[in-house]
Amino acid sequence: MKRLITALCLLIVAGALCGIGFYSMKKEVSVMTQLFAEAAEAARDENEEALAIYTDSLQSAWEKSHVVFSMLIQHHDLDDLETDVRSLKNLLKDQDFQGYLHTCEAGIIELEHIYNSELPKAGNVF
Amino acid sequence: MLITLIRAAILYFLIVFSVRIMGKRQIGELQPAELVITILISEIAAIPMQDNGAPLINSVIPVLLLVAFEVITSVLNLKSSKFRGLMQGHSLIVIRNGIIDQTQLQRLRFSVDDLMEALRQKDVFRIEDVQYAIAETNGTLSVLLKPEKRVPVAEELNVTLPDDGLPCMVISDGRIITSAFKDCGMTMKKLHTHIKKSGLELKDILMMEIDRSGNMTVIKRDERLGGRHTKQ
Repeated sequence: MKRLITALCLLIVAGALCGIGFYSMKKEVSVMTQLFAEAAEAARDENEEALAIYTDSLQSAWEKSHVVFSMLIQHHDLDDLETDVRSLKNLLKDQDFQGYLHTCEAGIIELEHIYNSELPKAGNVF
Repeated sequence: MLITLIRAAILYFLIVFSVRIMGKRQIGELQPAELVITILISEIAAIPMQDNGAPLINSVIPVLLLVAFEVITSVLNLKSSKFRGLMQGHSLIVIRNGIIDQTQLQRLRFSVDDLMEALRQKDVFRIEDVQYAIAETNGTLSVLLKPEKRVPVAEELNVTLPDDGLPCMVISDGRIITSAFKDCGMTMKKLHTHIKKSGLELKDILMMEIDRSGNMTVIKRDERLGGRHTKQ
């Protein structure tokens, strides 16, 4: 009976880890996507002041999200995203607004890919 | 490299914990489902040990799930014979009164050579000596010899043998194992008498085994890592 209770506890722990992991990932993807979208909008307007704020926000958000993502997602899936976030500062310094916009759009696509590949749907399961 | 070390240590403790949860059945003869679980767990644990890019949680969750399923399945096996039959299959009689049941042999995909090999491992060399041979669900063969071929036991020979009980290890590596005293009716006073009788000091004894009748086996500690065996 003790062993059975332990097994049920393990099932609950495993289920909770999956649930918490998925929702943490969803939350971080949502935060990062929002920031990338707003930064892309500012890049379209060539608003240097706003871009400086968004660049800092994206970098600090990435520092936080990176920990969550690393625990849940294959690390090589995060490499492109990390490169994008790190390159924003240089693009802003060079005033390459077009490059900044492309990088933000690429970041959104990569985040969408991460989220979609973790969704428990038939295509991902099989 | 430090990451590899930490990850390997975490996975090691996870697997040891898992095997402990699954219980002793896992260490002995494996049922088909248990074999599958054991292989799966070792595979799942090996991947993140080698690949630091894979999140550890991708291994932890499947291991926890497999262990939980295994324990729940084993409980259901105990409760329901139908479920047990479904998960483990049934034992099949392959030899009856010295005659091979070829239908069952074919069903098991056993060749006659496989059957003879399994019989030889049971010290049986002639099929006609076998009354029943049963292929168990864990792949082993149980053999019941014909009455005239069985080794008689003391009861059948009307012989009374002394009951020496379970031999207990009371000294291991120069240390007294008090937890074993109860099983062999030992007390500290009796033990010291036995040590005195052996002519050795406690620190010189590598191992002392004793049964209820007082038969003891003493192995003296040897400087060269060997051991002089003194049976009394």
